Amino acid sequence: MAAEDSIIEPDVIEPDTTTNHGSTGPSPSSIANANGTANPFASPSDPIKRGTLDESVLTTLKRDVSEINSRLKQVVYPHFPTRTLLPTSEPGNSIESNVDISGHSDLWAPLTFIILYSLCVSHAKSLFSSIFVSCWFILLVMALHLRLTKPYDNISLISYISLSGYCLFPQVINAFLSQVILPLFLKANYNTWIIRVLTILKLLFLAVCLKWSVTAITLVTKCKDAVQIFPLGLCFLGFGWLSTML
Amino acid sequence: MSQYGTTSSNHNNSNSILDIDDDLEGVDDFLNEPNPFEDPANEINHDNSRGNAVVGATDDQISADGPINNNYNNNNNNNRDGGQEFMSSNSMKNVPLQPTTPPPPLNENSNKVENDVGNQKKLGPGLLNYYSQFFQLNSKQLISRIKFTFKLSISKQMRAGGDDDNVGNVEDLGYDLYSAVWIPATVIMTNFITNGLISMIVDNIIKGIIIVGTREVAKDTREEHFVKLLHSIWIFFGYTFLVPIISWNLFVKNRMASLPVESSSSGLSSSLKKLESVTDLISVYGYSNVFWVPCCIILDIILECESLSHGHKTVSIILKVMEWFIFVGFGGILSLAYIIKVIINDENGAINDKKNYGTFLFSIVLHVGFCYLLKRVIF
Repeated sequence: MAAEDSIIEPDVIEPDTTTNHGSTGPSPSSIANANGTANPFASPSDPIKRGTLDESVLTTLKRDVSEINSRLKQVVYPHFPTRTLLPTSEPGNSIESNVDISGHSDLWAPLTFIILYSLCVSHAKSLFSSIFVSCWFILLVMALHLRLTKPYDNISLISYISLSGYCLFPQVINAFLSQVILPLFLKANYNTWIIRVLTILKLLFLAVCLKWSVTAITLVTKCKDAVQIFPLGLCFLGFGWLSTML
Repeated sequence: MSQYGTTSSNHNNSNSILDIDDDLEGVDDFLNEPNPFEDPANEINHDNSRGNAVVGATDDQISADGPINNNYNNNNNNNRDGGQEFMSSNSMKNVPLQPTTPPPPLNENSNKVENDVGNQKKLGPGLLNYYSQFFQLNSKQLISRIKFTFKLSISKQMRAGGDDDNVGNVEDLGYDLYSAVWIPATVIMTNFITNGLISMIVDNIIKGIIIVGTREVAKDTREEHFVKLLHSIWIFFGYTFLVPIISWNLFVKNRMASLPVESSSSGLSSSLKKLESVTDLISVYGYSNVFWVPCCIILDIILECESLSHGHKTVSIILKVMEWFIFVGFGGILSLAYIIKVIINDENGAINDKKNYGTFLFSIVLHVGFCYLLKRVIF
């Protein structure tokens, strides 16, 4: 043991060999292993390159969409009401994934979802700004509620806003179906039975998407008591009803 | 851990292998000096290290997680060390940070949470975590308080605490801000949803026509619905938060201070805690809104029936009478009765005291104004 301690490896500064585009540089995975955490700016082509200035807009958008999608896979997709359509996370990784979920706090996805939701509900007309502001306000209220009722969880307010925003995704689907897709059937064939069927379908979509959102946010934020869950359900019911009614 | 221990002990014992001086500045120049990490003054007693480390971690967490964790950990530490206070800052610097013990779930140890909540009163009102103490309740407590609100309002006695007001566990009764936020929100959503749902069922499903939807005629209706929702938000929350604050500062605060301690004890002491701060009064106003939940549902049904009566005189008159009865009697009077009873009971039941007239009249006038706004703007 003492002999092992006496051997001190010399510090060698390796020459910078990454002058060309990623020819000899380490892969992002190796960077992540060396530092313990993944470098968000490390790209497969060139680890020295930082930011998104040197890549095309399409590449940036694709990466952002894929990141949002990967987060939706954690937060929203597994909690679909039937729970059989999509695979759920493995039980062994539940603790690690929960830490990862609560530590993440991007606001791009909530912004995207709120813009899409407001566009669908307002028909891109007069109510857009009001609905846009109201949506952010409701997300803030939900986050404050979670922060105040669960003060012992070390999750920041922004993380709760992010989580609530991700759980808004089912309501975006509901708004898109209720305000964009279903009215197309009405334009094609306008009669009383079509109206009845479409109204029932709207209510059905509302119920399914509401259940989906509430289940997702309940499980992700680990809310157990009805006192904690009820306000979240009330807020999502408001979102859902706005898209059904307006 | 053992690796580090072995290395440090080797340094002090001046191992022959390491006893080589290469005439260059480096680690070997300090081998004969005492290791500061093995200084008995800085050594941590492992029996208490957990608690001390928690203090250190707590100090670190104040900036990151807020003072709630500070109180929680401090409370744990005090219990463990027999009421020992915070360590000095010097000793805290030398204590390595260790992960804090996970707090117990809220529902499993309510007494613990209440103790922690009691300690949170030391926090400043500017901190978000200060307000979390007003949101610590469970479903059982919420149901008990709502039941008590109904019981007290319909009770003929001015003073609660009799046999009629025996509602569940007395310890569950109290004040919180959860009710002031979420009961008005429930009323607003109930009104918004019931109104639209009934018209949707009647028009779209039963009649098969579109009143709201994609047609041009629907544009005004859509905006009207949304504007009505926004109006109901500011009316309910303005009434629930602003009126108690004004009322407290104008009337209750000074009188509570002037009353002797014994006489200021609540007449509701056997069932409800006395009003101690403006948040308690806000809570009272919050719970008083619970009457508007069934009221909104019934009123929306009546209003829909009125539109279906096609101007039939007798039916319209009957529905109008029912509407006013529900609105005034159920919504207006019962909610006001609860507020007045709690305030008067808190003043030691001194209803004949002339000093109470100010509070009494102020509450009534503002409540009438609130009801007028509701009738004018929403219903």
